Amino acid sequence: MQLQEAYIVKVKRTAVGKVQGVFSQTRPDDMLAHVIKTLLSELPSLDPVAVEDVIVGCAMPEAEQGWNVGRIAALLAGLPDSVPGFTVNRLCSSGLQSIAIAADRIKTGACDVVIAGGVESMSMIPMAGNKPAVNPGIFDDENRAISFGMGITAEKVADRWQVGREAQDAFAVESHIRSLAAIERGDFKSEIIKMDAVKSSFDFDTNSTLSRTTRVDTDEGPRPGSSMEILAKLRTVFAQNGSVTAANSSQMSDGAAAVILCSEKALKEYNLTPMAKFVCFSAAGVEPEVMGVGPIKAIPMALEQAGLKQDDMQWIELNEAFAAQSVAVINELGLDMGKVNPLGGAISLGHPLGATGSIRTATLLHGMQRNNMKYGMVTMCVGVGMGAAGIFEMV
Amino acid sequence: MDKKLRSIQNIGILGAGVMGSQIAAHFANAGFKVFLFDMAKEGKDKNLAAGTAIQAMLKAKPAAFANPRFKGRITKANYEDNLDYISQCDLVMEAISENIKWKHELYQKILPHLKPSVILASNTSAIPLHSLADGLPGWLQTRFLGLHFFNPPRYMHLLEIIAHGKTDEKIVDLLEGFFVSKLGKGVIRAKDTPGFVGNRVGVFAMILVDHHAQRLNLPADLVDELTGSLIDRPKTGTYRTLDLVGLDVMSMVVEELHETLEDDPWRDLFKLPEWLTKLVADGAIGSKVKKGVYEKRGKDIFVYDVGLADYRKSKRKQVDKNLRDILLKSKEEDKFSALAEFGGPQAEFLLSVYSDLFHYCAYHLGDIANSAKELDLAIRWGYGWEYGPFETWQKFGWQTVANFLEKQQVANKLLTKTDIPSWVLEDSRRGVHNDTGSWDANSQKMVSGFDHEIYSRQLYPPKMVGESSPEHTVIFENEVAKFWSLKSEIGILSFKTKMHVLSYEVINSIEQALDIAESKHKALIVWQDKPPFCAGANLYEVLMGTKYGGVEEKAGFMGKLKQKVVEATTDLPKLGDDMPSVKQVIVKLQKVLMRMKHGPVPTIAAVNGLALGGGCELLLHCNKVVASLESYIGLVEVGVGVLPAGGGCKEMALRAAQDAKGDNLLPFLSRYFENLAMAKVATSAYEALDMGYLREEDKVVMNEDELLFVAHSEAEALANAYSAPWREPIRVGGTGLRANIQGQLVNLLEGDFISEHDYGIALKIADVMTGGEVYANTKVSDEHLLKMERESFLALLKTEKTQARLEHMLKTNKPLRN
Repeated sequence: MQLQEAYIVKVKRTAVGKVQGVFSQTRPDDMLAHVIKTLLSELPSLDPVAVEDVIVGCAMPEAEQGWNVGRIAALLAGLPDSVPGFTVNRLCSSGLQSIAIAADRIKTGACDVVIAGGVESMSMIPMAGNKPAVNPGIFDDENRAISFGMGITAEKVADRWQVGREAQDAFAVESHIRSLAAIERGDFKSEIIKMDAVKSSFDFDTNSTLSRTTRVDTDEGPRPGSSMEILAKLRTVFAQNGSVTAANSSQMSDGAAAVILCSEKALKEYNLTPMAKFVCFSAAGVEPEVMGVGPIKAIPMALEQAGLKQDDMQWIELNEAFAAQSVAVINELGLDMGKVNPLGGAISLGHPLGATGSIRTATLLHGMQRNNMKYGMVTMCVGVGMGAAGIFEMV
Repeated sequence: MDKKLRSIQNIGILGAGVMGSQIAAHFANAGFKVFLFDMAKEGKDKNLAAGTAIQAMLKAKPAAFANPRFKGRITKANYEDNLDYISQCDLVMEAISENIKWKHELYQKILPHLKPSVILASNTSAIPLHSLADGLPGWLQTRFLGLHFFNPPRYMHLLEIIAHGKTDEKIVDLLEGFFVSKLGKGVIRAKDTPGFVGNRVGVFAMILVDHHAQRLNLPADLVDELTGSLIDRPKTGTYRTLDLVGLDVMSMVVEELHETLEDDPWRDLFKLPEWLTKLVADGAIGSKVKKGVYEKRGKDIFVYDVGLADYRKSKRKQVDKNLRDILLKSKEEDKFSALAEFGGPQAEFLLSVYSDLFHYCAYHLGDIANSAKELDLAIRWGYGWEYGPFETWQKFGWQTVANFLEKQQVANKLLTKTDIPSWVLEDSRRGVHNDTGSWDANSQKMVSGFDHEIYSRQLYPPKMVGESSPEHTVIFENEVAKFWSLKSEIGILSFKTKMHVLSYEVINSIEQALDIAESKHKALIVWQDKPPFCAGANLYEVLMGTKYGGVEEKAGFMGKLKQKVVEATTDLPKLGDDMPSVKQVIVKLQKVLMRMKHGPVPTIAAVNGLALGGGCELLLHCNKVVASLESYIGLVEVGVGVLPAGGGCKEMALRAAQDAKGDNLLPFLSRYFENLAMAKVATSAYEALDMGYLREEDKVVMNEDELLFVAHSEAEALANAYSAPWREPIRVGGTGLRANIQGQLVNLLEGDFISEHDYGIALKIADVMTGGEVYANTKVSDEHLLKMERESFLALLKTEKTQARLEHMLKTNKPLRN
């Protein structure tokens, strides 16, 4: 079988809201539908009937984002009934996994136009879902770490890879500085789709309901005024004498993103201009108790698959689940801090689990386009001990 | 009466300062709608002052709100925009700065908005009420009075109501009933004299202590030891209390009294001594700045030493051992003479402190109070003394003290030469309180006082020295418990053990009371004449039983031998000859408590103060609970390394299943599990309601002295249509839910937030509460859970770490984390 190229025509996202923040009453399926609908409207030459599948990453696919949010968001976006959809879950890499699957469908020639994306409302569906239920058997064997909270795994990484509190706090402060500067420069403007978020409440003084609509066009997470002094005051939350705090961990967030992928044939047929090619994707497993180091394995695997060197990467979006694991990955692989997360990351911008892969792909591709770069990567650690990495080439 | 009290519903508090806002919070605790006013602030939020005060109340320690959600009962207001709220208020209380001009201006401002039926009050402690009343229109003067709360108002029982010459007596009556029953206060109808009753005597007592301490060169830490629990005063003694009050506050109060007490022969004493004035000048004003007479430095407590003119490490146990023995062990009637004969500065200090205080109280009784009872109760309620000055005097033997005073006066050893009132020296006098009433120095006769009809709700009121208990019938009484009744068919069981703990004998007494009540009584009430309700199981018995080898079965020959050796070589309390095994005790406890709940006679727990561990399990198994607001309830067994095994785990699993009503058990059960695993204690009855220890149908009573009354009416109501709750099967979470909890525990363990032993105990609790090795949502019998409780309890007792925890708690009264 002759493989063909998978092109990315468009990728955009919502702004990312803080948990219980601006999007707390905006349903995740609505957020995703809004992004898909807007993307399609920006490509009038593409006939929606041509979309052959909608693949959506989501880490807690239940309740408001359950019942196969991929299909539901497609319908809510106004895609014809004939367009199918499905949901994939590899926790924090779900939004990258969906793009990888879509690309594979195109590469193998099975499809010509596929929409991929990711969505997560952590305001509505808590980490581990509404009804966590671990297998009782894990406590008796080596699988005990399945029950570890992500914070504990970060503490273990900090311990084993010798990442101290100060290094973590410094990394976190830098994340905020970069994000705030990027917002100031307007770097995110091209990738963010504005969305109206409605919040209602009840006013006891007037005995009436109140409704407030906010047009959201900026990420809510970055905090001006973060400094080493302020961060040093925070208490550790996961371990009594640990080093991981709320400030050097990623923020819980709400957000959605979508990507339109096409074959060469579809590019011509619908007169579309490609942004980038999807090169390859790798996922790897590591010990669950140090899940944060997943990228240490996944990045070299993806590079090898692509036949590229680490130095070829000009921009790396490394998801900042925790400063501890980010620093461990950067140090272990010798990544260039100048190329990693130039606009900050999840510590400042937020981490809506299953949406992050697609959201950071938007940041990467828009960023590389602005800077005339060629190769870039999105990578992240994944719960229960995994890492994932995807490589993109600008065209 | 109750119907009249309903006329007060909405409360206006003017001034969101420390007192105003705390009083507002307490009205909110009692379920009233409160408008909290302060000056309008410039800027966006004109109600910022009230808002800030409410935020401060939410953080206050001890807590001002009995439940944080009660903040919603307070409406923030300012004098610019919200004066119309005033027209909704039935009671308006002003609590602004002690400045007569400002107060008058404020009254004028609200005047047009007051409704005709309003009652207007001032929380002044410094300005004579009549001068505040001047300037008010005639109709309002009759509806104006003083309400003097003590700080912190939620916790200090005393409220002084001060009428001025024109206050309508009916209004005073209404408020006395209202504050006693609705807010739970102890009300004294004080005269309009400086400092009223409480501060007049209480402040005098404090500066008197300092006067004699300086005279005799006694350091503050020694003085606190001498004037604390050794003489039945608060264990914070004098200077530590002063730190808590604030030296700056004290300085102001003393100054005001000095200014207004023109004719008081002791006036010169009302001055803050130089050394305390210097501390205030240095900013060392007490606990609020963490530095006053005392200062905590790291783990050490430092105390200011007048001799050194500097702080030094505070010392403990400085009181002469023999003197201590007299204070703790002598008969009351021998104490005073023993002190007089003892010699040395410490005894002389106490004698002087007593003598001058008695002299002062006797001299002023007629001017400031309507009876000796009022004066004594004001000091008990406002200053936390176990006994008022006259009660102490009476306990010492009236004549002994009176003769001594006379001699001291002749010898010129009293602070003033002022005459001792002649009634004090009557040959026939045995005291000021007896069953005919209490001495009124004005009318020179015994008066009953406290005859407001609201007191008919106090079936067993706190009694004064010299008074007998209300008429009652004793059904049985032994060393640890008393089963008795008032004039009704309702049996009352009261414990006599220290902290009202559950010993094997107490458990047997509950059984005995049930035996009788089931055939003879309509209902059974568990009630204690003073708090706590029950501090838990007798840990000493449990630990000794364990140590002597009597966990599963009675201690054998070697165990008995060990017991004899321990009893011979230490002064630990003796245990019964036939010490039961721990298992036997726990089986009995479960059996008795299940009978409390499911037996034919309805049971009512009247809870006040601590109800911990076994005490909590006791109330959980009563068919109804009436709890005073200040009830502190919790299952705290993990602190001593065990789990609730008197049906506590079973009951909370059952309540979770009932709350879930067929839905997912997880959120309900994990909340209750957390309460147990973290040994959380509710800080009020309303918090206990949120924690699941009380239920909606249980009653919260604002005044602890009304508990027995409400318990009786609830008992009657329950008995009128009673069928015991059926022992329904309990839906449990099974291994799935247990795994869920275990996952959380693993994370706490990994994060070093809990020890291995904590983990083990918590896991056992989770196991019991989820029903053991069954699939999710299986229904099991309560007996199954009780059996699991017993087995886990006994298994934990056998571990060294649990035994260490028990021992540590007995020795230090603090939990050990191991």
